[in-house]
Amino acid sequence: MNRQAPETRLIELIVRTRLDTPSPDDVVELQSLLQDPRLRRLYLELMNLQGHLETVHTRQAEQAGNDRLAEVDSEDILLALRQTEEDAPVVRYPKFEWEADPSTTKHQADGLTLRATASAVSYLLRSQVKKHRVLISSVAAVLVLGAVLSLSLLSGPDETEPPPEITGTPTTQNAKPVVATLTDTRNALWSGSAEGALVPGSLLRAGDRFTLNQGFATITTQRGAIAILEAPATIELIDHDNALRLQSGRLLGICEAPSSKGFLVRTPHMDITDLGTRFGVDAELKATEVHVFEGEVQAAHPEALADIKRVTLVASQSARTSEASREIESISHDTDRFAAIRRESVFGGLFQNTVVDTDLNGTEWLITTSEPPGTTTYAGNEVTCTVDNSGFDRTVVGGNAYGFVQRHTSGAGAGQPATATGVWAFSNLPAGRYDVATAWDRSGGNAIRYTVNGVEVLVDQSATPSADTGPAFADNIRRHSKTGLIQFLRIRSSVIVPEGGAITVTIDNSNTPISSRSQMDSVAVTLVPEATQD
Amino acid sequence: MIQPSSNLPEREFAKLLVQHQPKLTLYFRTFVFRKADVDDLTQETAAKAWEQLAAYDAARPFEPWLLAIAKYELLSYLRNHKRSKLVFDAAIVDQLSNTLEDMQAKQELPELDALERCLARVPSEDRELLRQRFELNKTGNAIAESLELSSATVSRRLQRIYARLLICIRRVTRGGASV
Repeated sequence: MNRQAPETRLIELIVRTRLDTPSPDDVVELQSLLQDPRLRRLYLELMNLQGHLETVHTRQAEQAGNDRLAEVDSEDILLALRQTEEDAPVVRYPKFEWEADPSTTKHQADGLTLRATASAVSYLLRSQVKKHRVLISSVAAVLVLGAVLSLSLLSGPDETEPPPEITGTPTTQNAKPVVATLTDTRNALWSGSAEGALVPGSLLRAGDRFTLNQGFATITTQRGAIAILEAPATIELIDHDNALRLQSGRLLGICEAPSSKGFLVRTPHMDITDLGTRFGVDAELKATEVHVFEGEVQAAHPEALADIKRVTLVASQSARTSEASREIESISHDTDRFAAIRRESVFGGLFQNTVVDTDLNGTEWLITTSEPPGTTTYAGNEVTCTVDNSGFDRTVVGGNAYGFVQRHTSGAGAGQPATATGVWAFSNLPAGRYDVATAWDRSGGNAIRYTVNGVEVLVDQSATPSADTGPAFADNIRRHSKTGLIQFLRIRSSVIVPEGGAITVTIDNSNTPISSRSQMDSVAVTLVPEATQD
Repeated sequence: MIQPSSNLPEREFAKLLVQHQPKLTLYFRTFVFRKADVDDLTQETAAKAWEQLAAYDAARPFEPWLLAIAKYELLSYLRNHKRSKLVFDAAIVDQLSNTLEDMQAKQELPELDALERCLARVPSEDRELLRQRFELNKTGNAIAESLELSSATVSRRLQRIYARLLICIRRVTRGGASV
């Protein structure tokens, strides 16, 4: 039987049954899921989304074509419809397949217009043809489509209507080219040259300079590199499709898209070139630091300083340059300073505050939880579950705390860098010794890499934990598919924690073969009773 | 030759039909799996609407009128395909229809603009996947082949894109106060 959350399963079935031919079993399963009124609503929401996605992909054409459609094309359609009422021989319409890629020229875009129009015409035509069992002469058909084609093409480039800039294509008409897009903001307050216009979706042009005084903002370069800014920060866009200048403040750079490799962050003291990674930059008045979290970056003095040196930094390495020194100094790695911004990169503004939206339950990527405000759980490419024990009686029960992430991920391949990480952070714990245990509900790889306060532990997930391997907790690993006692496996004993201290547990897929999985479900820390420590 | 004065309503009507084609397709896609059947139903509905042009009262909203015809077409399709294993049971369609009408009445199904705002956040690789799926109308296997991924990955990534877009759309439509 399938043990996925029903919402997850529903999405999977929707994608599958519309992507390829469904199997009778798929239909049966879908029907049984749709008995649930809540899932029916989700289904309709998703179908609405899917329909809109279809529309969006031909929308450019419709947008360009609608007005003309009103004046001209409907005339053709009408003509065509009328034509069908006379007896003429039928013609089968060829399927119009116009290649449309993001770099469409105006002519190709007009091709799209044609496709939309022609298919609308052919819809109506074919229906009429079927209805009346009459045939349209191929001459008439060619005439109609020819008319649409020539009208579309003859109208030529439309100067009054700039091309939709959803992808931020630079336009030569503008003196300042678009170099990036503001893709997300959270609680953002701005000042600077682009003031007032900075909302998600805003196009950023070379020369734009602004200060983020509060909140977070995500900027995506034309080549797909992502920079998340944490206030206070001042940045400037330069005339480059994959770079920005960080005058001061903190930024998290993410280069996941292959096209974004080479992303350049320029500060007054350092040039950082990303080689496919995640890294943090902190530009202060007189010095800049870079901290690499994943992958590699190159750090160099900016060209203004004569002595150009390049240093390659890998994960967990950090470097600093300053006004005073031309050297690139190695410094200790500091993840704490970037904790807020890294969390932002995971939450990505999906949640407006720390209350998890409970009606988003159940997908593999979202956490099923009804934890009180303050608990933040979200799983994306990087999985973070933060459980703070202060005041949450569901996460702290008699000195026990448990947090959950709920995600599984394919292995990155043995010995390869992790491509997915889960973090459970239990903070503000009472002093004592804690046992750390984990649970998972489907089998995974046999040497899954965990760390407990930095100490590596390899866990065999090939079978789920049994009664004598550790503690058990009631419910809430997967609210929808798991109830009753969940058995955990103890992975470390008696971790000493001072008053108010923390235990951080991570899991990743770096030691997991590609064919296998890291199950990122749940971690519990249990206060060991004093009596048993003697 | 067609006289402009007499064909104006018809022309308007044709325009409305064309404008509503995506909605019609979306409606049928919700209940029917086979794309060819969805296309046929869309065409059939357009034809029916055209025939009933005289019965359409221009003072009334067009969409509900068109969707009523669509529903009639859908029910007759389901009757004709009752024994197919690839068609929903009438009971489920009925329940879905009711839920759909309820959601439409409460305006719980966001319009296109919400999606557009959210698409701006979709990473370029995912955009390419969406393009392959919706613009080039490729099958899962064809997408997998051209992007050099496994079909399972294609499916999983699409699922993830859907989930993320859904969340984003909900957030946007709930007001996005702190955006």
